[in-house]
Amino acid sequence: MNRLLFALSLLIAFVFQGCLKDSCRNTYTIYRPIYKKLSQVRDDMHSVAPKQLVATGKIYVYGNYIFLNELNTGIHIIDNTNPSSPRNMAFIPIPGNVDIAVKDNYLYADSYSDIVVFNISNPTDIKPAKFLNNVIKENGYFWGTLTKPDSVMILSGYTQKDTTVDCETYNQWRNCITCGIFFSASDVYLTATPSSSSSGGTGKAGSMARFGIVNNYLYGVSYMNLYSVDITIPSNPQLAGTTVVSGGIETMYPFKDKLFIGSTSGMFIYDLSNPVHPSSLGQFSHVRSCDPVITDGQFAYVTLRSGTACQGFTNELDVLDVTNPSNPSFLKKYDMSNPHGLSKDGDLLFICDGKDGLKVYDAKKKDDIKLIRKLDGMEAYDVITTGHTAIVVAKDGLYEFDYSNKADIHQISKISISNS
Amino acid sequence: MKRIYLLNLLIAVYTCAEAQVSPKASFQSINQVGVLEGEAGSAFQLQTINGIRYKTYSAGIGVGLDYYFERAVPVFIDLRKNILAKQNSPFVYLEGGIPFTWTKSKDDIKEPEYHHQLMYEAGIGYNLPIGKNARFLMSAGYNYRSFTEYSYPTYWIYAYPVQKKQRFDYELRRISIKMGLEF
Repeated sequence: MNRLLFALSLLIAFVFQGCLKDSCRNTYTIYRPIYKKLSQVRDDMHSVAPKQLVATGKIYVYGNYIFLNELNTGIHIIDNTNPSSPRNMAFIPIPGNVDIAVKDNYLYADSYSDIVVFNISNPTDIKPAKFLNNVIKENGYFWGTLTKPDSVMILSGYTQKDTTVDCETYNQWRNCITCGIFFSASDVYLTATPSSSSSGGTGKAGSMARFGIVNNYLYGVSYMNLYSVDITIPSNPQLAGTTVVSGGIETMYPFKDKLFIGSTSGMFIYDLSNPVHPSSLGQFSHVRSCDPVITDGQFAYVTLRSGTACQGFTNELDVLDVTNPSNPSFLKKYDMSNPHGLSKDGDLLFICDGKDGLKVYDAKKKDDIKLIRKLDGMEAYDVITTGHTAIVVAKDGLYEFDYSNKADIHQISKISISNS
Repeated sequence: MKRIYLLNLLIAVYTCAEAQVSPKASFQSINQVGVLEGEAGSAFQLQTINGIRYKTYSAGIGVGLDYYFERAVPVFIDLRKNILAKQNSPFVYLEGGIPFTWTKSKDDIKEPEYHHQLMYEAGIGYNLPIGKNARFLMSAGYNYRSFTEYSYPTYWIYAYPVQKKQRFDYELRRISIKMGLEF
């Protein structure tokens, strides 16, 4: 009897032991990269039939055209002759593309560490005019020590597969560099000075851009360097100089003879008297955050937001007095929900406040800006104002709003992203 | 022979005890503390269950705190049955409900989301009368809890932190030991 009880106790303990096991399963998507020869990829870099919007990136306006980045994939060309009915007319496949700038019918696009120049005189037949190899070296891991495009293999796409593994197994895979790289956006962006022309001159970029054209120079920032590219001959750009700026650089906004650079730790103002090697003029520090910045010459407007790769917990608009660019000073802050890009036209200040939509402020009094219109129903990312139309790129597509009458700001068109 | 005697004794005790159970339904409150023991270690738990008792049956709604692995506030239905129809008696119980995860702050930039939260527990215990209307009770059982967590862990790509939504499905299996008071 005692042996039976003892054996029963052991059996119960054994069974119970098995029943006490905790489990953790991790479900995620594995991305396997597809590599192609760079020369082969470049052969495909020309305009093709229009594609659906899927993952909208930055916007750029040049004359009657909107160039909309499809993140890491290429550029949509949209005929905006009639803003009430914009037409998606073509697509240029450019692996690794994030930023755009245009001058005199030449479009400059990043492709990982390269800069590609396209002749856009005929928007329906766009072809590359020149390739600048390995300019933004922060993204130069494809080139390494190679010098010929035929030798370089670049990431041109990926396959994806959902899988479930034990959590312990997954932790060993978290160091997969090739998988991780594809989660990130390219570091290189292009911006343009705020003037537009349909047949020449430069176009206009959004505040989230990192490229800029000032006179005969194209400037681009990576997370720590400022690159100066001589585009005196637009079809034949040449890397002219590299300036170490700071860590955590995110956006750049050219204004006249200065560059306003947004970083995770503050705003920097650079002087372009020496266009090859811009010099630091002044800075304004803020809490750690992602911060696009624009300026009207007297005041700078900086949005800080939380929930980003930059970390930080602040959501606000800072207005700075930059009358003396050597010593920018804080004027006032305004609480926001989750502000992203912004644009200013006269006294109207447009702020993309994330899921809170597009907010339009009367900014005549800088220390007392007034909200005059709130447009909901979209997760707004960036905005460009053109004098009467605000072009907004949002998570679900491209919007246009007529603000010619500021008492009646309303949506006039939308190109939606694909749901497939 | 000893077994037959023991069986007869149990039957006699049960028959006598039957006459001592109140026939009316009455309010019942059970308040307990205890531990949860499993692969992730030992953790504190506490709960309060309020409901009704009728003869040897009771049912109630409970709420508690579960500190095992991921803190949670379980809200559940509790069903009990006294084996013997008297004040001091062994009992069996069954609980089932939703353990609402109550997260502590994490390093991720975005707060995790929790879905498909489920718990159940089954066990046995014993009541001991204290005074006129109270009872001390202790119990041991098997507790199962499952939930799905969507989180946004940070990965570093070069100098940039990147988040990617991840799904984790957890199943926690524990021994639950509790003691407390019943009114």
